[in-house]
Amino acid sequence: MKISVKVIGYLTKDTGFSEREIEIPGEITADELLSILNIKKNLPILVVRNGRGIKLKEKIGDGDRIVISPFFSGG
Amino acid sequence: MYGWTGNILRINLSSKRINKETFDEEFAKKWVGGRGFAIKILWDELKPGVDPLGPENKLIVAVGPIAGIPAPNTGKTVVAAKSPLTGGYGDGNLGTRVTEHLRKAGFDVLIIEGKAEKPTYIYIEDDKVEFLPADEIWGKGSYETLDWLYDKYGRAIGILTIGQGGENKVLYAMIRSMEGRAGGRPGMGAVMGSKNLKAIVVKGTGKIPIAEPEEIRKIGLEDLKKVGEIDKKTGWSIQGTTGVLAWCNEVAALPVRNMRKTHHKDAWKIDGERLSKARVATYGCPNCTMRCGITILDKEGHKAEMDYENIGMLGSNLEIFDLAQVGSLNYMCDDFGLDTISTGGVLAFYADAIDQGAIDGDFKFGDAEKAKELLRKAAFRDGIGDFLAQGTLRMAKKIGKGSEAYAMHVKGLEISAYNCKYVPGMALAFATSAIGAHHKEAWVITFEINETERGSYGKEKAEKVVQLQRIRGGLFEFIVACRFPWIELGWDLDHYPVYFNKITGLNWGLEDFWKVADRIYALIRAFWVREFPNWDRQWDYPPKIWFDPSNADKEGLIAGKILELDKYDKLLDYYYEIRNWDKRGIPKKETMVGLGLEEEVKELEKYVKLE
Ligand code: SF4
Repeated sequence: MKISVKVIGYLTKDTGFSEREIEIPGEITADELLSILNIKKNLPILVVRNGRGIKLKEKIGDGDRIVISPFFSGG
Repeated sequence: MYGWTGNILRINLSSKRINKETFDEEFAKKWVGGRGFAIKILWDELKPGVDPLGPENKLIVAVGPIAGIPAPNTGKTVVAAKSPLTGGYGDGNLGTRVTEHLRKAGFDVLIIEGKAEKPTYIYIEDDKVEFLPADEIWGKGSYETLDWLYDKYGRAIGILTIGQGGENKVLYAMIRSMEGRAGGRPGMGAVMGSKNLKAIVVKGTGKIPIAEPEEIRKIGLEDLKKVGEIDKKTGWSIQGTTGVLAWCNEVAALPVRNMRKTHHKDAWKIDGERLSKARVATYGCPNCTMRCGITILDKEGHKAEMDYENIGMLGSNLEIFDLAQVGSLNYMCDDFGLDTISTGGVLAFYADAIDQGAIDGDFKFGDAEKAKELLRKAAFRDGIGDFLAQGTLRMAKKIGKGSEAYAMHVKGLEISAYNCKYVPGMALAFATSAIGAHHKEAWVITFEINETERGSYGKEKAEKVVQLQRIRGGLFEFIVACRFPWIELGWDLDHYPVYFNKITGLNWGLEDFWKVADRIYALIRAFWVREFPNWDRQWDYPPKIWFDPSNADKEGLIAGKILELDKYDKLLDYYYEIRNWDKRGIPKKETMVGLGLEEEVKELEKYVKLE
């Protein structure tokens, strides 16, 4: 299964990349994806799947566009 | 009284009279500082209908009890006046060394009234005030002015100044300080310019009265260090606020093409990652260990300090995806002392009106060189610049032909960089912000997209807007501190009563702050209503185009989606209900009395009948 992942802001420090396609073994939760990507959960994190915010326990599957960002609260 | 100097310095530029006045503890506790002091003084002292650019308008510079104390991000000062852009209450905060100096000079508030006969700057050293000729700096940009003043007084001095935009009374001119610091979006710089006042220089050598000086020093410095450590650990300041651009693009909320579009394939070219790679320096406010002023070299080689609003409004909203050129526009705004958000909004509206055939002109989206030329003209009110200097609301009125629908402002203040054509809660936040469409008071968009159904209009959204207004538009604007440690690094709000109590010797909890915040919001609303007595809820609507089906995105994430007017109205009702304001959006009598505004009720009732 392939998903496309975009990582925003300081989280790229953890992942070492900002955008890439990655292979996942099967459906995984957002939380599992964060672990795979080495993202530390020091502060709240936003995960957006195909443009919609999802909870960390929600599933991610084939073809999804995932955007992972800090929980911005704005300028 | 601890925490406040209890002193106001009143400076009349016409008569060159100086008055040192005092306020008591009751006033201090009721209004706390910053925005609270500003609205109370403007309400009491300005007659409705005064010309915002006339000598009767007053410029308020106000700090709060925690301002200038070594503790997380306390380097901010509030500047306020009746706004020439909106005709209502206007304010802003900016990082400046004035914060600390003003308090050490023995004042919490400056009231500047009248108009100097000739270009002037004021030098305040403790309780001495000098009126000095500004001939050598009048007509100069804010960077040159700052350098000239630094040469004279040293870099440790506090300075507020304006560029040519303020001198020429561009209605969205701001007040400037230090490198890229700027504040007072709704034309506070124009108010200064209208008074022939080029700069305010402050040096204070005294002590700030603090209840527990040793304790606050210990806690404050430790906490500054801790905030710095969180920043290092997370790396927040690597991109600062600019990471938001990529996120807005992904969730279809980016301002593109005068907010007609919500995303763009080239947005990555000006995003936080590119910006942080291009960084040559980082600037920040005093007392800050998470400095967010990412600085790059612009097209001409100047150092331009950028944040998200800048790249959103001067970049994507104008479809300019060349980072160095966006840097140039940003640098020019800072140098001329113009608000980057309103400038981006004005230029985008102008390009849009030309594109729609409502007006003749040769400016197109994406044309960076022409944008620079127009920006310069606006700052000097040269030719077409005189038209652009008035802001979107007035431009649309002149153009007509339905252009009001896509004039992207609320109450006359241009909307900042979130495209809410399908983000109802954030649209409500813009529409109910105390000064017109500003994001600073309730940034509800991440909550909305992540934790609610995006297209819903439930009461929880109105509740969140009010809650954030209490914190961001209230607490941080009246104790006067930068909100970023809390919003970006999760620095707990409970720290703030601790600082406040150690400084003032009081024993307040967060609930006490919320009450002050509600009082301030009610009085600011009363100020607007007194200026515009035919007030109704229409004032709290976002631009028409967000409700227009033909403006829906044609493709992508929110294709076919727009805001719905009847549902928005319901959301606005929730908002009024929570604030206990009536259906016109005017605070009810009982609400005002409950907030201790009995006198203000009497005054307001002269202009409008209260429920
Ligand atoms: S975080 Fe940014 S805006 Fe806030 S005090 Fe620091 S430099 Fe100033």
